[in-house]
Amino acid sequence: MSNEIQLKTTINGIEYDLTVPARLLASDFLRDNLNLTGTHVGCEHGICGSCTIKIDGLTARSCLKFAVQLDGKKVETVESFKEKPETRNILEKFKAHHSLQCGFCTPGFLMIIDELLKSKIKFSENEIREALSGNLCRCTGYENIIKAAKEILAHKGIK
Amino acid sequence: MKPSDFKYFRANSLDHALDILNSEENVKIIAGGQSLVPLMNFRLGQPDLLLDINDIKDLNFESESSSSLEIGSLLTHTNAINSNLIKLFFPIISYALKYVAHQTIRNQGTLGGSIVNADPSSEWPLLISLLNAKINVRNKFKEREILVNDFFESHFVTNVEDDEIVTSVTLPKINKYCWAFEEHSSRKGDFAIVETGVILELEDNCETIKNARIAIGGVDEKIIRLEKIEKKFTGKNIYEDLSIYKKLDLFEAINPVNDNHGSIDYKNYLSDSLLKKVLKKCVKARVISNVK
Ligand SMILES: Cc1cc2nc3c(=O)[nH]c(=O)nc-3n(C[C@H](O)[C@H](O)[C@H](O)COP(=O)(O)OP(=O)(O)OC[C@H]3O[C@@H](n4cnc5c(N)ncnc54)[C@H](O)[C@@H]3O)c2cc1C
Ligand code: FES
Ligand code: FES
Repeated sequence: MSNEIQLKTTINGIEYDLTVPARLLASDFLRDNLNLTGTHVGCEHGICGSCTIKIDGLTARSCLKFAVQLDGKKVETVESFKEKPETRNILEKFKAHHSLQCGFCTPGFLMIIDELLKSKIKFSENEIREALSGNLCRCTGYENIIKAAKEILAHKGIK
Repeated sequence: MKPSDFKYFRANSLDHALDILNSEENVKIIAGGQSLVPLMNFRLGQPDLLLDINDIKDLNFESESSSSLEIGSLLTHTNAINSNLIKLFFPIISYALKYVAHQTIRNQGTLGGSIVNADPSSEWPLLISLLNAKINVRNKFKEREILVNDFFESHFVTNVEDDEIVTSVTLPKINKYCWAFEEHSSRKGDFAIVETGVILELEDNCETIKNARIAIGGVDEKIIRLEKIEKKFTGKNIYEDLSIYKKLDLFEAINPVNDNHGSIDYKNYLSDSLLKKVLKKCVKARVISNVK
């Protein structure tokens, strides 16, 4: 029981063993301690979605987790997207459809679309819109993000 | 927007967690963190010790007996939506929980956290009220069972003491029934402005109402059961027009307030129209038979 906690975690395939303050948010840990600045911080109360990462395969708001809670977990951040062909395809579709302007919201949207892609169910266009509506974008007006998402999910079949 | 300093402990057994709750001051339990961490980030909550219960396996289960389902308090909203046992006996849960925020929040948020948070616009509190649940809680010395009627006290306040952990919720099976749930929010995924659910328990003929349960949320400091209307439905045939209840029986039972989500009149109007909608939907729904 302490204010400083030992943390062993795997992030984008790399193992870390560090001591961190208990009050350090996972989002700040990724950005400030590990220099993984692809995870963006907007609202710090779960609303905007720019800080979305994956913990043990499920999306999570990193501003609503403490770094110490990543202990023993496998974490993926947007930096891992360039490594694998299926996630690289998501990046390429975003580029092709001009789905970002400033790019602040993009890491969150990429995470959500990847989660939809890996889920076993097919989605209708409405369901895709609904799933993406948990993330905020101040620039694009969303249409180009939806276009990319539809194309990325098309090979699973759209309902 | 950063939490104040605290100590952190992750318990891996219920007994250990209960020991800590018994001996330490100003402890906060963290489950999914989806309600607690925003409060801590705003420094509206400043615990000295954060007790993480996520590794306690005894809090993460679902089990079935001849008369009920029991669900561990750590069940996440996503796992509840995907649970076959829940789908089979209480599809209203799988249906209503899809209205909770978005998947990312549902992946982390839990049953226990949601009911202890006791937001009167939340879906789990309405569901356990409608399902006549019993909430099982423990402290270091004893276990107790709280009937849902006694569980919620007010906005964000429950009957759970500071040294107690909600371990599970027991949902009594219902023999023959039909159900419906609806809510209205500004955008999909937002907290409901008004939410309502109905369960009509039926006689063997599948037409006569044996017992009606109607719950409404967002219009008072806690979830309200519309007992007057429920009583008047007993003995009615479900194919009668149930939407001609006495409006006063609804308006006298609820107590909406003017706020940035709408006026009192608007919320009364929403309550009435949502109630009519669920009653219509309910009688059209398939009858579920719970007891084998
Ligand atoms: C953007 C956003 C949108 C949301 N929208 C909705 C919505 O539409 N509908 C809705 O219902 N909810 C919504 N929520 C809240 C979400 O459902 C939370 O997950 C839930 O309210 C709390 O569950 P938790 O497991 O995250 O609890 P935590 O945040 O970990 O804890 C909440 C409270 O419960 C206490 N607690 C937790 N577990 C126990 C236990 N086992 N025993 C005793 N005390 C315990 C904690 O000490 C704390 O006081 C939203 C949250 C966010 C961030
Ligand atoms: S910074 Fe986490 S959701 Fe906005
Ligand atoms: S591209 Fe700027 S916020 Fe979305």
